[in-house]
Amino acid sequence: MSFIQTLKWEWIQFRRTPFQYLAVLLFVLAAVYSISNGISLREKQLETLAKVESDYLAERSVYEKILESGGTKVESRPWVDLSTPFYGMWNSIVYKLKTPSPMMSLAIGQAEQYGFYKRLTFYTSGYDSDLSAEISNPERIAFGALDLTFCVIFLLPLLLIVLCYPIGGYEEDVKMAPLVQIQGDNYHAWIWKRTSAIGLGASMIVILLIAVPSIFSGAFTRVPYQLFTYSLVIMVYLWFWIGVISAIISLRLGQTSQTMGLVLVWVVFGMVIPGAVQQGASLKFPNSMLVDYLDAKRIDQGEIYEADFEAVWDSLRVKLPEIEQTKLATQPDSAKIEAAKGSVYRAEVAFHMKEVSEKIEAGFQQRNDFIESSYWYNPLMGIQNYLYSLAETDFYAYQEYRVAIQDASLELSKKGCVEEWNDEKVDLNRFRSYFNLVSEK
Amino acid sequence: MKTILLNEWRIVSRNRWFLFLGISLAAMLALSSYLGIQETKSLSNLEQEASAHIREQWDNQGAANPHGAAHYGTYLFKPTSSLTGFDEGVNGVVGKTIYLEGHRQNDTQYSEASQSVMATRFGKLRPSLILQLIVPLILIFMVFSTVRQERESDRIRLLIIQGGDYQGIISGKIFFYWLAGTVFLGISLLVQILLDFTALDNATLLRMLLLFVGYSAFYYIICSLTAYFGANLRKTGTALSVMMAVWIIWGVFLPRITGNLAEQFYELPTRSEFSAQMKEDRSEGVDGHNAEDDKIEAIKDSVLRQYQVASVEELPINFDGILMQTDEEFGNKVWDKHFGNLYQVMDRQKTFVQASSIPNPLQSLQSLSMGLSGTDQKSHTDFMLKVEDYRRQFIKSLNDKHAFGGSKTGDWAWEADQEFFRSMQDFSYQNRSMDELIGATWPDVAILLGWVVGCFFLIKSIRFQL
Repeated sequence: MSFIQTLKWEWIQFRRTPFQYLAVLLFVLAAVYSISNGISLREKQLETLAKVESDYLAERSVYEKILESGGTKVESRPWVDLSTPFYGMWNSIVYKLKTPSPMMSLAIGQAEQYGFYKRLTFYTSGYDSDLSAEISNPERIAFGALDLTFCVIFLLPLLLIVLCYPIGGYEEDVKMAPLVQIQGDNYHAWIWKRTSAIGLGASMIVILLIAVPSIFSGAFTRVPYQLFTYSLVIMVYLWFWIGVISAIISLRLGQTSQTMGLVLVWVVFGMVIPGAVQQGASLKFPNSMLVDYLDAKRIDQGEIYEADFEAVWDSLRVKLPEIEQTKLATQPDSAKIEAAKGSVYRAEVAFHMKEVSEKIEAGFQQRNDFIESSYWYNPLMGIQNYLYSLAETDFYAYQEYRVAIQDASLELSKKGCVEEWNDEKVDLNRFRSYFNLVSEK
Repeated sequence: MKTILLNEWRIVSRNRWFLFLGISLAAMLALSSYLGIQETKSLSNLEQEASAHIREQWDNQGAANPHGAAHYGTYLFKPTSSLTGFDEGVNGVVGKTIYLEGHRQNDTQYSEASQSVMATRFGKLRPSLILQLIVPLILIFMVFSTVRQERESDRIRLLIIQGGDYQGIISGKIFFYWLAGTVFLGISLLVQILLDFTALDNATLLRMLLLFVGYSAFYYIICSLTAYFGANLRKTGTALSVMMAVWIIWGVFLPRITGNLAEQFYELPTRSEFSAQMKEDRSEGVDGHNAEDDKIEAIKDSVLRQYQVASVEELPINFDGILMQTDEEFGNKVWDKHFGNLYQVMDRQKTFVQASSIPNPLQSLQSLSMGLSGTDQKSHTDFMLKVEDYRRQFIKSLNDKHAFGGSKTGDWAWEADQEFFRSMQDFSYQNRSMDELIGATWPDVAILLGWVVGCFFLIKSIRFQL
């Protein structure tokens, strides 16, 4: 039988089997619902970011107007002097935003576990409480986000099992399998042709499910490489399952045993192995509760602020050599130096917090290494995490964002320190230059 | 019944495939229980160490201004309930660390899930995962296999001709496999009892008993439904497909979809909206740090009248402490309103999820299991509320010390001695009482029982068609 004929017969068989029909319908409904989840989460994040942006631009413009009119004082806070680099930078209201990728409509990933906007100050860190995840029901989060990637990685194999279980098994049960061979077809080739026909149908459904939302989200034009890779990986994954299913069917176990075998393979790879890996990771690298960070904030910072100025200066000039070339360092003015000492302490603290954050992230990386080393026997999670990385909704995308926040905070402290030691006065132009000191997005 | 049970035992023990599955499952359950308990113990130790470490910082802060100490604050770490090893519930996705400070109610931070890439989509390999999803799947296979075999080999006709009762035979088979399911459940709970003996108290034992009842009820439901479809549907493939579809829809589809729907019907505010609304309401009250605030006048007058003096400088107490506490109490009303609304929305979501479990008893079991293990959303909210009560007491003690500890108004340099800080009580969390727990989980129990009764009558309705 030619492949075209096989396709035709599988289509007829499908149309006459209400359960298969229902299974496909359920899968498509779940996929469409999960895509709508992705789209609505992305839109919600974009709306929130737009609101945050308009709020801080409005706040910033208040200070711009003060400087524009030649003033430097803020009426509601008499102690604020915008002409000093400290208050000038503080009131320039700089934010670091993580704009969601258009691919989020397909892969929500871990996006709901992290914050995505953060105001930057000299004291900012990537672990601050205002960088917490959006408010959501923890029970829903515990069950996991329903996105297209979940549907494809976990539900698609189940759909393929439902569509393929009668293949071969039925013929074995009614003792018709030898008839297939008598008719001249190689049994394995016959199985492969039939499962391929189903694979082809499933591929078309999946491609449609990826393509339609991608057109609307702009993924086609804005992240074509990621979208292409995402689709390619999913196709390879789908055909890998077709291969596994064909291999199990070729064992000629009969309909019932065949279905049990297929479902058990899914349970082992979808639930048991990933669950065991997660359990192992938790035992080996339990939740640190970030006590190191708490200590850095409470103990280490206190120690730096209480340390002798000379010691802090000596330490800082190694990390920030420009400070030695500043106006106050080269032409000392004791009154001004006294006022500028705070910026040295702040910069030293910012350098220390950067070191602490590197240690914390290195701790997280050990746990990641453990999980990633399991991918060869935990392939479903490996593939899933790769797909999330394409959508920038995995752990690493948010780690990068945290690191960028920490770097930006350090940048602000360094700049503030150098400007204070250069005895700079902030005017409108300098104030505006602070907006672009760190990249917002 | 005894004959049916013995016969089923013979069938199962002669089938190497089922034996292998049974033994693997029992081993997996024992191992997952052991690992769950180990992780719970290790987490408890870490929490205790972290708590002692933070307490030491608090105790050794030296003499300090009480309001300065309120800003310094302290951290609490969410304790791990002893049954977390059985069902982790929401504990992996909510933070464990919470900062307590003056002027502000905070949320927990630093969840385990946010500290690494994802390793699983169905939770850790805990007994709850195996007992909720894998054991039912095996029961479906076993019950289906035995019922279909009777039908397809036509042995059932022989048994009926010999005077056998069809319903009795099916009920016997259901009973046998239900018993097998409860043996798996028993293994897990037994390991829990043996390896975590020291954590056992009457409340925990009662919770375990209720867990046993809940899971047993679900196993009866799953065995009965499989037997019903296996016995009634003509085509083998269709019968198995129905039960596979039930398992997929109950275990994989619905729990995710209902959770999402609940959040769409009962929307939670975004964090920025939530903060902005609280900030706005908060701005209506007194600002304890701003002595120029107009709203302070009325409070000042009342205190001056009470002490019969003309100015705050003449007061024998520190008026700043009173202001701080007034500020705090106004803030508490704002937190109560907004966090109260938030918890109310979450409760509505929970009620929605519980109600939408009517067609899905597995979801009721999941909710009941988390609730009894002390790891559901309501347990987390209970922890948050108790922490907030503690924070209010904690900050009030500091403000009272600031006001009545011997300093005068405006004396921000005044310091309370170290002994005062050391005398402050630690936070201690008690799980929800059984009454509260029953109040929260009765819909789950009612749905499970409703299904048990429904399945009982479904089996009663089975008629053999020659």
